[in-house]
Amino acid sequence: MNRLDELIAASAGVPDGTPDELGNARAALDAAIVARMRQDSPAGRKAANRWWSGRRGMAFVGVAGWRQRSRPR
Amino acid sequence: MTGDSPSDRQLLAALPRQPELMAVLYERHAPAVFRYLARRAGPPAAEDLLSEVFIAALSASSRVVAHDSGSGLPWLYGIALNVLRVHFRQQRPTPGVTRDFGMDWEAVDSRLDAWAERGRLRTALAVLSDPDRELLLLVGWEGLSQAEAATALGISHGAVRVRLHRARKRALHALEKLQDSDPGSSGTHVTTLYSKEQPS
Repeated sequence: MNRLDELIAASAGVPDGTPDELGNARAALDAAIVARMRQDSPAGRKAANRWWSGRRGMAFVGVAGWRQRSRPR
Repeated sequence: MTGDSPSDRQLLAALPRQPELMAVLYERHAPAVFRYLARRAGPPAAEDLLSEVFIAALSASSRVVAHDSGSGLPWLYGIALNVLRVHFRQQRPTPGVTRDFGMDWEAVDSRLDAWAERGRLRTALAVLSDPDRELLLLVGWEGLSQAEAATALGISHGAVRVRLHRARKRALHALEKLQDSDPGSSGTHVTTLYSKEQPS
């Protein structure tokens, strides 16, 4: 083992993550997974499409379009 | 597949359709990813960054690259590297200290027992480009094979072989030069090296 390898090996040791540290990160990941599943689920997508093609969605698009058209140039 | 538990390769293949499988990868690889982060940013920062790595992996699961060995760890190290860069860039600069966007050198030095050794690794690795330094440390600290390091860095195995050889040679040469200039105890020398590091 040369000098470089010795230095790299000597500086490699770090404490393992404690159960608390690993648990906190896991909780954050779980929340992100649930959010992702909601976003990806067909039911969620269908609901979103229904909203946009419904009365409120169309009104929203109409108002947005009117605002766009009436903006002074 | 052996037994009941799916291999990493199977998990990675199913991940775009089943994001909940990321939890299985987490249980397998979180301790190793935590150590990777702790070696570079220190244990306190590693706790926060660990969740960021796996959440970023969740977003990137459609672009997953499995290593030939089937392990998902090299892919996760590649994501962890990007998360670390963002982390270091977001940190407020300290007056009089040169910023390093890939490493907290105080955390590294604190792991070296002898004061004389502190700063030496930094000096040796300072002659390398960031990707070459990361490659050397993926192999030296994380114990990755050359092929696994290639997956983590998104380069070919041939490129890893050439770059690793070149990086080791240059770092060793820098270390020898340091030794020649100060053959005895290097505590004073290390202090001098730090004092040279002023922001440009």
